[in-house]
Amino acid sequence: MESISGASVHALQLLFSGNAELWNIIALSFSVSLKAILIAAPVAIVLAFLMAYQRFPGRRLLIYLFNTLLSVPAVVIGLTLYLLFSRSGPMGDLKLLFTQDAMIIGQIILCMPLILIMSHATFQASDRRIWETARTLGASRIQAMLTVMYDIRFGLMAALIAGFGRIVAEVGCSMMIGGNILHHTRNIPTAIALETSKGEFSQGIALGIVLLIMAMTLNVSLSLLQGKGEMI
Amino acid sequence: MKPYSITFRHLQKHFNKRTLFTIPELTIESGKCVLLSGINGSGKSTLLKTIAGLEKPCHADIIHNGKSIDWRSAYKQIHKEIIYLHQNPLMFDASVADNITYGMRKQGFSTETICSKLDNALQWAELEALKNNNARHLSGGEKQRVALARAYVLSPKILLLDEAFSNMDIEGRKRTFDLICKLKDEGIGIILTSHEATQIISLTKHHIRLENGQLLEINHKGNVVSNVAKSGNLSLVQETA
Ligand SMILES: Nc1ncnc2c1ncn2[C@@H]1O[C@H](COP(=O)(O)OP(=O)(O)OP(=O)(O)O)[C@@H](O)[C@H]1O
Ligand SMILES: [Mg+2]
Repeated sequence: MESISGASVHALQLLFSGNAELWNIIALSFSVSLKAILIAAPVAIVLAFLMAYQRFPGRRLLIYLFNTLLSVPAVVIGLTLYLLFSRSGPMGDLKLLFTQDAMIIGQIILCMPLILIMSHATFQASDRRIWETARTLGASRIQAMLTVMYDIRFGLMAALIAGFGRIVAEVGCSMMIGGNILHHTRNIPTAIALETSKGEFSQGIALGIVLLIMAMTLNVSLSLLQGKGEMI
Repeated sequence: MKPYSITFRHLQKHFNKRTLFTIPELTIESGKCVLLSGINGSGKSTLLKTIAGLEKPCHADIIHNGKSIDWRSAYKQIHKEIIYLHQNPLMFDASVADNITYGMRKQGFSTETICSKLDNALQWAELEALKNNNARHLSGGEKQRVALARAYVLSPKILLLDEAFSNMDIEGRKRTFDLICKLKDEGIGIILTSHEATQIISLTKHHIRLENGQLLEINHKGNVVSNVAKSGNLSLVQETA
């Protein structure tokens, strides 16, 4: 087992020398999480819009449901998907277990409620006159919806960033249904968990630095967006 | 411009069991300018929004250019023919020009039409100098002019102006007033709301008043001529004798 300072120096060397294995893990992490966001976001945002702007039966129920989903631990979602996807499970024939697709599905389920709840709050707070003005000027429902979305684009962006932050560093679900296979389903959080358990800290620290930098970038952009781009 | 008329029969609106208004019959026609008065909270804005198809009435029978149609098909027509202007107009987060062309772009007008109508409207509302400014940063009076220009380019049959003169100085009022006069001269039907009844009396020949959920017709001297709810009919076209 190496010393912490030695491991940190080694970690920086790994990062800046362009260590292929390390960057492969980073790329995989981002690719899986971005795909999950790209699929989850349109569905979540349109649903959030409908829940805020249309009266339909079961609206309240949906809000409760998504709030509950938001507080379900990632491992529980991982476990559920594991049981569904495992060979003897009801969806075993799809052969999804230990694939990137399974990780993407898990991350979609993880980020969807957060994006939905946050965009719903943004839609609720939006000015109804935007919708009314668009409609009275002859815009169709979909055009008017896009106009409202454009007006609250910073809030929606913030929801996306928060959703991305929730899944990119999440270890429980990825570990269970991804399986942590190198070059295939090993992403940043599962790699950190593995390297640490082996007592090899340098790669873990290097990946930790990447996550920290990313968390910082996400948080700064979040606060910038919530202040609509004003620094002070 | 072809004559246009829309009649609402048995128009009813209530919020959580509280009845806001019950109107046996209300006809709106192109070419007339009507003042709608009533105290705060009497339901003027809600009535206008309902006429504009933005609020769903609890009940309404609609006769559109002489034909009876249901609410679903009515409000599709209404969105193209009747434009509602808010008490405080909302500007989209875009330039004045983009605000004015919004409706034309969404309705798929051709680029040439949009350009020529835009130039015409900028001149019409004296907004040329502000063309590229962000509309959100304009003064209240300027926003009102953008809102009027934004509606004007769509050549509506009826314009519903909610408190068009509030929050404005004398100069602002005069410019808005002039624009509304021009709209009236083009044959567009106008309903104006105000809680200060006297202010725009010179513009409007007809005066109706929303009071306790009923629509009353008022004559020049300010007296109630007929209770619409009792007589069962109000046609805004007929000159009151
Ligand atoms: N969406 C709504 N839900 C419940 N009540 C509403 C709603 N919209 C309006 N109301 C109520 O209806 C009443 C009439 O409102 P409205 O805005 O039409 O009045 P108004 O005559 O335009 O008043 P003002 O002169 O202040 O503009 C008010 O008491 C208001 O609280
Ligand atoms: Mg009002």
